[in-house]
Amino acid sequence: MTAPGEPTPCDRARGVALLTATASVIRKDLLLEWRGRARINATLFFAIMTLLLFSFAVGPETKSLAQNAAGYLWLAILLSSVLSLGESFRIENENGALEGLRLIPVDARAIFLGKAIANLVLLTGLGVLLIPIAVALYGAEISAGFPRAVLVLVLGCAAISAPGTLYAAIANQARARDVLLPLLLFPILVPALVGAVKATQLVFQGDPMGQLDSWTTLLVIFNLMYWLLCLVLFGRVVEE
Amino acid sequence: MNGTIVGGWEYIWAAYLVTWGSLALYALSLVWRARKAKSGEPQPGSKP
Amino acid sequence: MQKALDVGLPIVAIVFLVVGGVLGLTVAPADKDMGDVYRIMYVHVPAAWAALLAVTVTFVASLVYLLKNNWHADALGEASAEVGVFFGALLIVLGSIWARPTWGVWWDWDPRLTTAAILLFAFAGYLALRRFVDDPERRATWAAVAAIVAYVDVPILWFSVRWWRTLHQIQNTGESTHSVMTKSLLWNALAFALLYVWFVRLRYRVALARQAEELAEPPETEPAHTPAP
Repeated sequence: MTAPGEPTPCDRARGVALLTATASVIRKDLLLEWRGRARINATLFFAIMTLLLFSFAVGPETKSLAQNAAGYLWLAILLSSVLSLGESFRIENENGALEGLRLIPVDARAIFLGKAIANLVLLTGLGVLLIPIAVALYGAEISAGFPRAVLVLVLGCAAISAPGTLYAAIANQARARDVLLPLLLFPILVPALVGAVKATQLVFQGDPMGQLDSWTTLLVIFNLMYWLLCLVLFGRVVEE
Repeated sequence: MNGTIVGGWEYIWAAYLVTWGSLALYALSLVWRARKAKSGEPQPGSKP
Repeated sequence: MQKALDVGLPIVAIVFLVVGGVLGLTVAPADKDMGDVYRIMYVHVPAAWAALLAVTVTFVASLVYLLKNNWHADALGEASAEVGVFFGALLIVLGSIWARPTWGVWWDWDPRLTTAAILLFAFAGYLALRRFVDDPERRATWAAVAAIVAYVDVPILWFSVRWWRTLHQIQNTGESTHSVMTKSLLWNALAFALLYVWFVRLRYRVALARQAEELAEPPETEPAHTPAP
């Protein structure tokens, strides 16, 4: 991380410390998820089942299914994200591990970045597995090229992860956490959902009007806004 | 949107009645809650 | 002074509402495109302003709470959020009643109305969060965080809905200003503003009383009133 201007050695050391701490939180979270991979598998099956349910609910008309494939795909990711986001703090709370992390002390920003990036990795992984299934199930096809599809997927998942991590930290220590997380998270995700679905639709159906870039920009702006804001606010959320 | 929309007074009345009615109901509920809060206030305050 | 405001505010507000209603329903002329239906604007637009004012006050109060740990700011944020959700719900219902005769549908994905509806849900989430957290200090901090996160969403939400719905004609809210039209809108807007202040004062008292009650309770958790340096 090279800051603009002249970074003093102290700044640099602090930046390096933040990065190392972030990396270890990411590693810890992903390792935990990997050890409990039965849960990841279950979430994956939940997501696929959601995709299937959309086909049953909307009917077997292949044309409308193909048209709405992007929407169903993102709804499946969004619904599964609530499960995986909640899980990432449940373990911490059950044995007071979050307080332990704060006492070591790990910088709250490192905890946020680590957890949000771990969630981003998990969600992107889920999306990578879901896209081919959606393509097969709904008869969609990736016409805008593979890199673009991956870019949109990562941006969309990042948009869910940043506010999702912040709100999961809150909801997991409140009562009624299962309903609280989606209640808080879904409304503010509407711009990201709109952007991700529209962009994915253009990736699937081709982009004759050249609108893909504006939707991608919308996602980038949403991400910039919320990663920064949540990074700033997270310290207050986990403080004792 | 061609031409003027004619009539629709039932919608106008519905809108105004909904507005006035809900304002009145919410005001009543707030007055009631504020009064209840006020009467409950001295008890905890008087404790040492 | 307090007593005078408590009694005076609602009376003046009702007078303004009556004047605004008479002007809007009888004196103001029919719009040349919208006919009489546009008269819903005189309550719809003030409701929108009141709701926007309310969430803005909550946002500012949340910032103040996070920066200064000021408990009055927490109570004000709570009060204004609830009043905002009330005005927001009213706004959505009125918008729906207006959309029906105008466009023939109960719901039209107009960017402003849609943004308001999403924001309404975000702040309903805020109120739910307050309900589900027992520790006063955590509740105040988390609610402030949620309010800021939700409020910051407004501009990007509005843009995204507008892009999403580019085909839709931008709604004209009575730009053809007849002086009586402006006056009726103004009377109603003042009435709503006064009502907003009155509502928030009442609700603020409820919030303060609850805070006092929580702080006076035997300390099962650590005392929550220690302001951070």
